[in-house]
Amino acid sequence: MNLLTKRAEYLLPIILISLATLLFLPGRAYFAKGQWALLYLPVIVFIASRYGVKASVLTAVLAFFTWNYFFLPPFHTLFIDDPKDLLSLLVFLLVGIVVGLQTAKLKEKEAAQARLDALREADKLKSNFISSVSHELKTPLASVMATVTNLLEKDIAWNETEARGELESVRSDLDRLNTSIGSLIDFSRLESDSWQSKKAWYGVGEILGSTLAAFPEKRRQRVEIDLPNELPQMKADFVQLSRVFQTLLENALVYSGEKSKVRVGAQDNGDRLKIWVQDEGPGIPEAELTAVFKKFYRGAAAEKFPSGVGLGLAIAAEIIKSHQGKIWAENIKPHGARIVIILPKEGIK
Amino acid sequence: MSTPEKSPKILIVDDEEQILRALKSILSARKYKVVAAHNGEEAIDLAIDHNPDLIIMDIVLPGIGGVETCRELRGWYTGPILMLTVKSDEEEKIRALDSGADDYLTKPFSAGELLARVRALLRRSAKAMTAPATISAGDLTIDLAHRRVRCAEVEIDLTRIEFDILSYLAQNPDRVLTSKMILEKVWGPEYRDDTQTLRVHMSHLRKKIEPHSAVPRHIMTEPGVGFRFVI
Repeated sequence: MNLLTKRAEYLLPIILISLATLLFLPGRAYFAKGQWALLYLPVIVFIASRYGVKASVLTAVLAFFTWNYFFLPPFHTLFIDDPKDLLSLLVFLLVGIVVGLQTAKLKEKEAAQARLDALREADKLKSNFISSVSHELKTPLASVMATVTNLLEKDIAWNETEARGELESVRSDLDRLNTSIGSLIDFSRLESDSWQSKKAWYGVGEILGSTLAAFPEKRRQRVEIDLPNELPQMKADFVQLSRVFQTLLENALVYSGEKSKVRVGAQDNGDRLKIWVQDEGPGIPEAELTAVFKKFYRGAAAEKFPSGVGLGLAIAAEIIKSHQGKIWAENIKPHGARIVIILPKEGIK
Repeated sequence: MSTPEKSPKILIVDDEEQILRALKSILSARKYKVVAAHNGEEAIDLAIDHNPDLIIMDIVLPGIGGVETCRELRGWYTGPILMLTVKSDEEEKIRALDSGADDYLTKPFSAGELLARVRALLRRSAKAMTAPATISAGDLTIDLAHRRVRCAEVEIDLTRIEFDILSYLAQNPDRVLTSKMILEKVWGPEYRDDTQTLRVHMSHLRKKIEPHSAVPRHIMTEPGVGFRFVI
């Protein structure tokens, strides 16, 4: 593909000049030789405006020789009878070079614009990142600070139940902070390639079991796991896949009602292993189904829920990619979101 | 729980003052005696002076570092050593265990998690005299004397190897056992590298004893390290 576009720069002049010549040839008898030269100019201008100087010089030279060969008497020789005809070559070259240079300038300008756009995009991403990170880190921190200093105030004698209630909320804020910081660290490790997967044979359930063990009992009870008993093992990085499951479970639990179930399933599809996590929440807006895997992306629902730094699914996607697998989001009936992971056969035993 | 007149002595080693403070607070509230060191050299000196029942040590220490300190301590110290690690460091964990640590705990941890590890390690060193005849974990009852296992009152048929693995794990609850340790204990030292065999037997064992065969609740995998029995 790339090779073809690169070669087009040199192939197209040859093709177009040949076509033009074929087109002009039947009318050779009706016009004087000079007029035919003019007819090659649009071809030169066209090539020059698309491919720049090098291609247009090639076109100009080609045009001159074909014009010379087919339209300059004596026909079918490269003999130049009249030195003034060399002027045509000069004009061809001049037009080609001037237009070609102009094109190059234009292209350079476009490229500069594109670079600028990319930079602006990166800047926007960066500022999104900084604002979401500082929001995600500062919100629980602010809440911890407020709660703890409140407990420390001497104007109220807190009874144990009250104090415990306050401390429970501190604990959940700290969990949230821990998750956010973990995401940031994992993401930078993945970005810098310093988190290579170390694959070994594991069962899906084995990884899920240890992932779930880290969840508080109350949330764990909302998770229903339905794995076939004879699910094959797969070759995977335990810690990385556990990270993926943690994100998917966390999201499913957060984005659906407190009493609703989160279901985890898996299926042996012969050449692949399919694993999914689904919730009974409102689902993901159709327009966001792919965007949710982008880094720092926070969906419309992020306003309503404590949504983290917007890296969880990006990290998951990166990990699944390194396992040569696929991951996507879909909505289910009557309502809910489902994240599906496909792991390829080479990794399955 | 420990009795006040003979409360275990714990040496804590960390260069971060906040962590030392938190550890001290959690442990002394449970009537453990606490001695604190800020680096490896100090830890070795204090371990010689106090002969603690347990050492809790951060793996990252200024100077000679946690792993090296652990190795030096192991020259003569026979009590349990618990390492504090960070999540991303699987290799560090393995190096810590190889250098003689008995277990590790990932930061940040809750007081409950810390105390569970501390009790598990202290229990192990005091185990010799009080080996229980049966162990219960959820629906699971393991009768060590008669080599019988029941799950929700239903007798489970285990092979000799499976029972040996289970009883070794269950006698060390909440404690990581490396694949090497299990292989040595159940099969013998010459089989210590045969991790594939262990995985096969482990998978059969899990199918028999776990309430949901596909998702373990009792025998948890510690990736790249080994297994941990959770009651």
